[in-house]
Amino acid sequence: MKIIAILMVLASGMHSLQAQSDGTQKRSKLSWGISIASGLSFRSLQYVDMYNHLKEYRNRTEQPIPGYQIGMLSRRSVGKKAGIELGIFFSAIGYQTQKQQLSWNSDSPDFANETKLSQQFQLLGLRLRYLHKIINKKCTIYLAPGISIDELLNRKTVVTEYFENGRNRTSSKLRTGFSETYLNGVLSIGSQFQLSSTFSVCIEPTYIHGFTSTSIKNSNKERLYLLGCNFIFLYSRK
Amino acid sequence: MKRFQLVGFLLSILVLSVWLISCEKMNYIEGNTFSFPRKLSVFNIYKGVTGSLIFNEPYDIYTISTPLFSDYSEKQRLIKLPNGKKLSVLNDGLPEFPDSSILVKTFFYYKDKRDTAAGKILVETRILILVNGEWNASTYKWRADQADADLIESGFDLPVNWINEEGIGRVLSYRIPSKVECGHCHKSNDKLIPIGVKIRNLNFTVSINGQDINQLNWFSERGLLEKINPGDYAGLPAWNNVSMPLDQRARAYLDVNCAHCHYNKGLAPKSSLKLSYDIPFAESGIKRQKDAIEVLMKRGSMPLIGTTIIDKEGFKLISDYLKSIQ
Repeated sequence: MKIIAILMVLASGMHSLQAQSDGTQKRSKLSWGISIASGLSFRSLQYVDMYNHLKEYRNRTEQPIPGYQIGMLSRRSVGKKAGIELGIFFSAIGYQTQKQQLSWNSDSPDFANETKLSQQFQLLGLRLRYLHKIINKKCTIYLAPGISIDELLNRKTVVTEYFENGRNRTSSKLRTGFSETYLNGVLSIGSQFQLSSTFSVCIEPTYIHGFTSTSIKNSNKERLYLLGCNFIFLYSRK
Repeated sequence: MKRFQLVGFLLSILVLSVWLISCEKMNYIEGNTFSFPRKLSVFNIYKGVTGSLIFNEPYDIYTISTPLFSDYSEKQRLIKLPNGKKLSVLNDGLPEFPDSSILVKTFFYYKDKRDTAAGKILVETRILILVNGEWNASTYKWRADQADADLIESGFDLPVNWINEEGIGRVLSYRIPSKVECGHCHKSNDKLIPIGVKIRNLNFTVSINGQDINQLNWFSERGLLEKINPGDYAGLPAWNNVSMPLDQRARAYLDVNCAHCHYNKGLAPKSSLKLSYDIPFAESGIKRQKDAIEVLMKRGSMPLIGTTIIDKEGFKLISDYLKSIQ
């Protein structure tokens, strides 16, 4: 139900962005694109004092994990210096433990020596950004702050067992017990390069900051973030 | 008109955001009224050798005929009632508990299930305590040295490894639930209730001090329960007792593993699947949804919460049962 609502709002947004064009420009101010972002994701912990020992334990044993975000977007120029962008994105961000030694009651080459757990939050949502062009020449440099609102699809846990001669992975998914809706801030600095009259590519160092804690109704807060680079391939119809 | 469309769209984003965020507040039971101590040792449950699970006198041990599957963990269940108070039996479901009742469940693994004397790995202890007519729930994570356990309220994931009865070294990510997750399973509308300690799940023969006795009679002897005739109440068969009929074992399994959500006051009150043992088969929805039940269990999508791996043996039981339904 929530995903349908997101898609309906996205469709209306795309239609209203399209409607802003009066059809008289030589090159459409509306662009469509595919965005792929990758980087490192992690979490920040804000625990009450009595749980500091847990926070210290987790900060000692956990580390960032590769995260990514892929999506489709529509971008509309507004005047010479500004633009609005709307898109729908799938994100996979989280964290993992460091490798941990396993001890067994007896030895066997069939028993794993070490293990690592990774937790990946899979989200689907809408992203709205304002584009402010700083340099607008052959290469356009712009600042792009924005927000996204995402629904949790699943939290995927992957258990990796390390053996003498290889590793084994098993995974499971859980959704219940975590926040379902996430509000995130997005900040990018982008460079847009025109490849042709219709195609352009953008490279954007990007920071996505979660405002919503993954834990519900809890004084201990855990927020996710992603620091990486966004690649956008844009198409503008003549 | 165009500006109106753009403004309308921006407003719809705002409305959507508010709606999505407000939806979250609908389904969660409010927090405990009882303030749980930071350490489990405050409850004075255990004594003696660290990690031995030897419990103190005011606590009594009990077991249930069909247990909840929890990632192959073992469980020790304890009950403590206030002095002179007893459980009152209403029917074959939950008895009535006196105020200040405490239910304790410790989750652990044998280091080597082939040789249980090799020791245990204590993971967590869950506490339910009845205060002023309201159940309160929390859980404690055992420390690495097993000397005590610390209160956990926001959930925790940790790796657990053990050798199972077949000599296979198993590793999994064990999920200690958050307060909110406790409320998902232990839910009766907007209140918390116990789940496993139903009369029908206690009504079977146990071996105590070398003597076989019906557990309800044992409870009466211990002063925990008013004197009743166990024959007047239903008894859940053990799900893995192959001498019992398949349908009864499967219904017992579904009762314990699924019915706390799949009933009219649980997490899935609108589901047409009602899986309590006392619901007649014709009203349970099992026949109409048998294909969906099998697919969701096989995929690991159900149970929704409380496990991170599939119960292969339990799934086989349910799968055989569903196939037997004409």
